[in-house]
Amino acid sequence: MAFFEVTDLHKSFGNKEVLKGVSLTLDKGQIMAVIGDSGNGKTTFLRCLNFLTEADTGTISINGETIFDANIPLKPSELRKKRMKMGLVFQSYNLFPQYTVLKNTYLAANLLVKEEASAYAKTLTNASLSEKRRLVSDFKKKRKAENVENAKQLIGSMGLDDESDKYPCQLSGGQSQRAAIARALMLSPEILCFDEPTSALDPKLTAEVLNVIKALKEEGRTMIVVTHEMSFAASCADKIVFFRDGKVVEQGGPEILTDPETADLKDFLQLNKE
Amino acid sequence: MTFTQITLQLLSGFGTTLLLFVLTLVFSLPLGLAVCAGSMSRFKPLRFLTRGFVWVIRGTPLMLQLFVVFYVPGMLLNWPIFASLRHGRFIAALLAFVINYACYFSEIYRGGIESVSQGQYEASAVLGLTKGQTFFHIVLPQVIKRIVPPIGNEVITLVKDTSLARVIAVVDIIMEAETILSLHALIWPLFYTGVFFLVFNGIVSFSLRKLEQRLDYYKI
Ligand SMILES: Nc1ncnc2c1ncn2[C@@H]1O[C@H](COP(=O)(O)OP(=O)(O)OP(=O)(O)O)[C@@H](O)[C@H]1O
Ligand SMILES: [Mg+2]
Repeated sequence: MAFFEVTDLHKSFGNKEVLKGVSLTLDKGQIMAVIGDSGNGKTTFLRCLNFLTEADTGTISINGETIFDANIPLKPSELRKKRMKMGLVFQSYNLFPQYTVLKNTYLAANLLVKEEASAYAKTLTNASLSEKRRLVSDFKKKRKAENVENAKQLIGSMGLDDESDKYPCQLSGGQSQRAAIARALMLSPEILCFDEPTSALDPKLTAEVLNVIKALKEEGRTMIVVTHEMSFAASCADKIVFFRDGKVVEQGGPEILTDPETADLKDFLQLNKE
Repeated sequence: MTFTQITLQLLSGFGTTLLLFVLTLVFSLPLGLAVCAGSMSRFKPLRFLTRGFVWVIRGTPLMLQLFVVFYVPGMLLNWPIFASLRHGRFIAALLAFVINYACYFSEIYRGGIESVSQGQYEASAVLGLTKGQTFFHIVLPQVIKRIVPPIGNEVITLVKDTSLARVIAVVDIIMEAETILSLHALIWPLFYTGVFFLVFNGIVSFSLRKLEQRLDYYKI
């Protein structure tokens, strides 16, 4: 069984069927590039993977664990746990404007500390009440400090050391997108998805962000990137998936970009050359 | 009457004005949140009812609302509660002001909440934030930043609106000045009341500007 497996994902908005049965697999540590013309369901597909949109039918599994099954509704708390296995970087960054880059990065992790602490408190069966309280408060402090440290490290690895204390309104597009990547990495998702992460950026900033994604690949991260950057797809992706009309029309190694099998992909590549 | 005597008498009226101002804000700012929740409710009847009520309050003069609050209990229940209580007139005025301002504030809150982009909610969801965490850590700070300027405008209007309470015979500063006019045939104290309003509004505007500046460390 593949590390990441999507089977028969369907999604309709009203009577418009946007995903018409998407199935694909991805191995650990690989990059999948999703390509295709506008309006063919690429974003909808990523949103389904991250539960922002609920697919009508189909399943998603990571490492053999089913994280989504349209037939089995989940409680909000379970859903939250499962969705944290996936990360998503938006085209428009969606950083939180009122927080610095650093706080944007550690916020979600720190908000989880409360739950971690109550789980930890349950393990302290022998401690007295006052001792328990002290241990739990120490635990919280320690976890929060670790999160801040971890966030700083991630920000550094994104080349944003000097921007750590800046607010999103003070960042360039490329810096914003790298900050958004740091934020998404904070919860160590099994799979990180990108929805056209560079389409709002000029060529220089695009290169900045794509280099970061390449570096993440070196670290062994598993990623799915919706992109219009054919050269990036050709040079970085282990797997190319071509969407047309809500379906995966062709998939394979990067060689399909030079030697496509289907007329549709041939057609698409021809148009995207100019 | 000396200048000092007149100033002191006007100040006693202005005390009522200030009390009305402060208590109106204390009650209407939180009540506005409840009205806002009603007007954004997913339960349709509640939403329509609340929005209809807000529409009526915002579409009619505050002066009329003062009369309605003051006279209707007496007419309908045959129980002129506000006319018989010791501070009844003041309470009636306060009630009318609180209802009126809560409705205006609710619309400002609603605008603030609706202006937070869908992307903020989605980014929060993807990061595993609960609904409550999303509201308090992500949405609310942005809402506060957005609503401070329009709330400030309403607060300044309220300073001046308090003088409407005199239509149900709440003795405010202007009414004190009129008393002086009729008893001592002095007209200038009436104009002098403007100074009190200006000074007070100056303080309020200054504080609001400071608050806005404090929230100015980021842009949305
Ligand atoms: N919430 C929605 N309600 C109704 N229709 C929607 C919704 N979201 C997406 N669609 C429709 O689904 C189709 C696929 O949209 P999607 O955004 O997934 O395409 P895309 O491949 O990402 O395109 P692009 O390259 O322009 O980003 C479009 O026709 C769009 O109008
Ligand atoms: Mg898209």
